[in-house]
Amino acid sequence: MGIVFTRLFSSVFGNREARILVLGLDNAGKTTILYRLQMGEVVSTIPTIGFNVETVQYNNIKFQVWDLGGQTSIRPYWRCYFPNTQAIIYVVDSSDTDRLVTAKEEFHAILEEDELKGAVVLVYANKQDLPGALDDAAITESLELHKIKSRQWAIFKTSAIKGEGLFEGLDWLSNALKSKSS
Amino acid sequence: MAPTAPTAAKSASPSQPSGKSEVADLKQQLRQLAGSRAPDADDQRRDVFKRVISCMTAGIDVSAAFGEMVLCSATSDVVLKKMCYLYVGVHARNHPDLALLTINFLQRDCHDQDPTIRGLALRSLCSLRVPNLVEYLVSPLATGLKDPSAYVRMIAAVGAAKLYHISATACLDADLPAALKALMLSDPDAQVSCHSTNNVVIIMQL
Repeated sequence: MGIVFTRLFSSVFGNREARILVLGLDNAGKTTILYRLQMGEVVSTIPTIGFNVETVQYNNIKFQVWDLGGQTSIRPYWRCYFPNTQAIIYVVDSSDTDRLVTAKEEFHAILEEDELKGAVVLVYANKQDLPGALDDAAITESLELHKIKSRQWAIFKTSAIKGEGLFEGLDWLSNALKSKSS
Repeated sequence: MAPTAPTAAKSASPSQPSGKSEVADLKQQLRQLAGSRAPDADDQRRDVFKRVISCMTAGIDVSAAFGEMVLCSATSDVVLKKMCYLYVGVHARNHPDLALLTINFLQRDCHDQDPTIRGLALRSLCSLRVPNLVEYLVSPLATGLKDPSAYVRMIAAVGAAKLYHISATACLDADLPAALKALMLSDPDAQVSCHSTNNVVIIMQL
C-alpha cells in the first residue's frame, strides 16, 4: 500500500527524469537550442567537437539533454550515446535546403537503430527567422515524417535566436513521455 | 602421461582488481553515472574514477572503458577532471576517433575562469598526441601563450614543443616558435622564460 502511495505521490508532485539526445547536421542550431532551453538566452557558440550535456527542468521533468556534434566525422559516434534514451530532438536548419536530403538520410538511419526503438521523436524545424526557411509542412515532406508508423513524433517551427517554438515542443515532449510511462 | 590435477585458482586479493570482470563492472557503473546530475553523483564518479586509475597503475588494461570515460568527461569537479584527463591522455592513442569527443570539453576548459583548469585542459589537450586532432590544439596553444596567468603560459610553452613533436608543420604554420622566443625574451615570470628557452632549444634541435 505504501509503495502505491509513494508512486502516486511522485507521479503527481515528484520530478521525473528523461534522457534526451539532440541530433542533427552541423550548423543546425543544436547547441544554441540547448542553452536557450537551459539558460533562456542566446549564447555565442563554436562548432561542437564532441558533446554538451545539461539538465533542463521543465513541466516537472528533469530533462538530461545531450547535444551531440553534427559534423560528418562525429556522426558515426552518435551511437555511443543511444542506450537508455527516451526521446530524440532532431534539429533541422529549415533554410539549408541543399542539405535536406542528407538530413533525411541521417534521420532515418537513427530511426533504424535498435537502441532507439522506444524513443519519442520531436523535430525542430529551426531557423524560421531566416529568409527562405521552409515551413513545418515542407520539412515534414522533406524528412518523410509520414513514413514513421511505430512511434510518436511531432514537428514544431522554431527559431532558437528568437526563442520561438522551443517550449511548445517541450510541452509536447513532456506529455508524450508522461503518456508513455503511464 | 597422467593428466595433472588442476591447480587451485588463486583467490584475488581484495585490494587487487580482477581484470576483465572488473573492467566490465566499471564500464557499467560509468555508463550509469554519465551525465547524472544527482546530488551524490560526483562522489560516486570519484569512487569509480579512482578504481579506474588504480586499475591503470596496477597494469590492468582499462582502455575498453574509454567510451564511458569520455561520456563522464562532462563534469565541473576539478578532481574528476584531473582523473578523467589523465585517463584520456594515456589511452587516446589507442582510441584516436573516440578521443575526438573530448575536444569540446577540453576547449571549453581552456577558456575557464580558473587558471588551474585552463592549464590542466591545455596540458591534457597537448597530451592527446593524436595527429588527426592537431587542428584543435593550435588555437588554444596560441591563446595560452598570451594568457594572463604565468602557469598557463608555462603549460603552453611546454605544449608548443609537444605540438612540434606531433606535427612540425602545424607548429611552424601557427608561428608558435616565434611566440616562444618572444616569451623567452620578455616574459616577466622567470619560470615561463625558462620553459620557453628550453622548448625553443628542443624545437631547434629536432
